[in-house]
Amino acid sequence: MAKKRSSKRPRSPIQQAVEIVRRTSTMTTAMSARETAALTATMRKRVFWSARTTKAKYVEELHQLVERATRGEGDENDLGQLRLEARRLLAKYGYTPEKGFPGDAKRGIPAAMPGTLRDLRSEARLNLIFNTQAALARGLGQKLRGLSRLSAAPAWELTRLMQRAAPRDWEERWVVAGGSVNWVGVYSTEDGRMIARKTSPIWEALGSRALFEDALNVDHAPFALNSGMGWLEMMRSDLEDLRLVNDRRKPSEVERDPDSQVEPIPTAEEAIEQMPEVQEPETEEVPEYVNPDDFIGGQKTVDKLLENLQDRIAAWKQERGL
Amino acid sequence: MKTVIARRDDASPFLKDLQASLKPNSAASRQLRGGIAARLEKLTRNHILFASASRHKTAQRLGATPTGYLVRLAQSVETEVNPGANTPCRVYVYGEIFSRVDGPVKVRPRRKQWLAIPATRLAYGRRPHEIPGLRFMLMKKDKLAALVSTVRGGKPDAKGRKPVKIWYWLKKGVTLPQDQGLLPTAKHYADEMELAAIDFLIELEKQPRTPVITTGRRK
Repeated sequence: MAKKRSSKRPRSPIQQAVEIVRRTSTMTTAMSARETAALTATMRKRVFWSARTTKAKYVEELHQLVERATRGEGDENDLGQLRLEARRLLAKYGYTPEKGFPGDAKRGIPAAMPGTLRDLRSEARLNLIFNTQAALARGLGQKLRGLSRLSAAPAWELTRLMQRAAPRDWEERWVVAGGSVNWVGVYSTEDGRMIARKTSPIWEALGSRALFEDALNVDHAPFALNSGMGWLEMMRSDLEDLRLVNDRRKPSEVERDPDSQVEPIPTAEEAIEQMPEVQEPETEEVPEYVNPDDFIGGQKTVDKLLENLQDRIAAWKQERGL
Repeated sequence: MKTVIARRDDASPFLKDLQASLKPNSAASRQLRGGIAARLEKLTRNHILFASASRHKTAQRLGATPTGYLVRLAQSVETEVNPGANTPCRVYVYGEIFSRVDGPVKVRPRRKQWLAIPATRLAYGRRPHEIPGLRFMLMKKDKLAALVSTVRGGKPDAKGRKPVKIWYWLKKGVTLPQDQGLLPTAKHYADEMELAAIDFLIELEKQPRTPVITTGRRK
């Protein structure tokens, strides 16, 4: 295989994800996870916080650790090392699960049972923070990158990327989310595969907290806390044998709880517009229509190329035993 | 660490014919190259995801949950499309693990004396400092040691030593064997590029033909 190493680093999806994390600001809060669920989607995108975490310096330094978790690569950025450093910080700022940070009792923050999710030092809590934040940044990066080549690869397939001890029923969620958006942009598959156009509102519905309690209010993977789900890109030719359930373009019909403070979740296009700080990927500035004048010899060359296309495809398949 | 896989997109006679018929830097040329890049990226990503499913031997042996390291790396695959003719299409993969495609990789401890290799389910995915009560036990000088805990209530052996549970093996270095299956082969890439070319021609076949505008000869 012709391979070579290069020291020049282009802007990679990891760098893009790290940038997404870096541009968020930090906030302290005495609120619980349930209470913070009511914060708006825009705020969630712009601000980093952790429930019941009132020490500003700790939140700032935890944010830096999240940035490293997003980068992932490197012997000092693994989850174990990041957990160790987070625990050192908590000890430095006087945190104990029983008393919280100094002054937490006055703020009415209840004591936490050591080792549980409420304990800021616990492995479960720290894993949840690092894994969720890194997965959200990577997912947003993948979405932006995927939208930059709608022509060549117009759809995503939702699939399980990481195994879970107790996996949730994503086929059922797909049905609920699809029904809530009238199946716009969703492909009908006989084998139960979950495929939809990249611009389908089903992605927004899958990540909507109004529909699913554990959802992250995002329209990209991982959709829900610790889901283990992700996207595979579908090429145009992969979709040839599939048909859209409903190709009508209509606004999202995701049902929302009227009492909820959650603001409407932006569509993929709106999300990109709302993020001027993120360097958007270069789009394919190529038309769907191929101009025969782009060929040396014009239409005649095109005709010649197409003349033996079916024979060529048949030979190609035969050669590979397809 | 970044690995660059460079593939020429006029490698086969079919691709060569097609590339030769296109005007350099034209929209059609960019479309073909964009299609090739998208296919190569998808091939590489899916291959790594597939490979990840069979590379949890340590986790499986210990009954632990895999860390998902390769799955995360699969999400970071990217491609670079060059508009110029005869320039290779580049696929970038990130992660030191991919050095194993080229040959065995020696791993040495950095800033530490020993490499810690998990020996139990609970040690997998955790740093030794996260597990309280471990102590160092040297087994072969400068070669092998272990981090152990004393088994409570265990009976001492003939020499009066209490039984221990090994949490981590400590080594001065390990050699990871070559693993060519981590990335697609050159043939996989060549096939995928030809598929992208076929996709391009099929789309071209589907589109309506431009009307031929005939003009009379000027007198």
